[in-house]
Amino acid sequence: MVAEVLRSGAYSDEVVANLVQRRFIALMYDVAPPSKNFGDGSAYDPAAIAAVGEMDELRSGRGGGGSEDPNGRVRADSYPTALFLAPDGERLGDGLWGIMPPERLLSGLRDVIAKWPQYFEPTPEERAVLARADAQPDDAAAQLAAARLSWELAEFEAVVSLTERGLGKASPPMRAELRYSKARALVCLGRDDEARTSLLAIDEAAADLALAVQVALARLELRAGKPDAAVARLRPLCTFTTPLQHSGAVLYTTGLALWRQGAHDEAKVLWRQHRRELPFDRLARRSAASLGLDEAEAFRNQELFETKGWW
Amino acid sequence: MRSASRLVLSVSMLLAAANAQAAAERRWDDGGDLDKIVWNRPFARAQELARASGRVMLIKPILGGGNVPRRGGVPCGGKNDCEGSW
Repeated sequence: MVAEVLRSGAYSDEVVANLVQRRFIALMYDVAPPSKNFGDGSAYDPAAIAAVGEMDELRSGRGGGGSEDPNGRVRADSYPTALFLAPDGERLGDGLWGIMPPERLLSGLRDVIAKWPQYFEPTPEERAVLARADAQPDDAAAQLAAARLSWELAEFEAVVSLTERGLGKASPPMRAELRYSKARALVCLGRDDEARTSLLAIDEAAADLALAVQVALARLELRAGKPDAAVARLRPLCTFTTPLQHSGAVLYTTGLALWRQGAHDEAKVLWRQHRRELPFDRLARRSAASLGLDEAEAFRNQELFETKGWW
Repeated sequence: MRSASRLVLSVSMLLAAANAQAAAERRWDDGGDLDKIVWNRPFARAQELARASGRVMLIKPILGGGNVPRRGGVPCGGKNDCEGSW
């Protein structure tokens, strides 16, 4: 249940998920055999324990077992967030520990990448995408493809640079994509005003992208401490017959804005809708965790209380 | 000048106009969203993938509490979780 906080939190973040999928092989395992397990121990893996080491030794000197404060904040400083093994089994560093928001987890992943760059070389396909963008600076599609790749690699400055280069020659639909990508990267760089300007300049977008733009604007409003504006923007979009790619994000984010307004029961209605109607959406787990321990059998989504480190 | 504030007014119409092909292409219907992290198991399989790709394993140990995926459950944590809870 403690691990669920990360699984529904930082590990369900788009930036973190993209970078992990691009650059790491993710593995989970349970250290407790079925006879000593609160669950069924189905993920118990002696081979992983042998390779990673005994948890008691790894967590030695780290205080704080898993606990939840009355307000829902989870403390778990002696719980591993991520440990890293090279392909040959060598342990890389001490790993990351405790509950953390996406921005801190991203920072930890970047540290690992910077320290052991030999394991993080671009693939030939990635090199080709970037080379094409360099060779054809007037090709907006090439710039967009490279910007999307850079986004997935969490290279935000590169996204901004590539999208700006692409905007000059882009068709209107592509201009919308470029402006949206640029805005997402600017948010991650903490340049919220510029991000908002980029989003507001989008005047023609397909349905999926139009919805994504509204979610991005609402998140900027939440970051600015304006949940009322976010609710007003997204609430009309919570009713749909055919869900789009970002419909789940609409439901979760509207719930988050309502929660920050103090309308907790209304927020829960939307999170339940998200869980029920779009159970495989990336953020469905976060909506579920927002419902709390009794309903979701998981500790509370930390984004309800934390405003820093989420984008 | 058209702006995103006007854009929101047209989103509902666009939603209604989303065609069947777009719905059929929704990638989260079967097997989940590609943006989600794929958590490999068991260790031997993950190491095989790491060796083949030359990539680092990012390992999330859980300290007890894992449950086998429940068919027909929802991916929400807890014992009734179709992706396996932890």
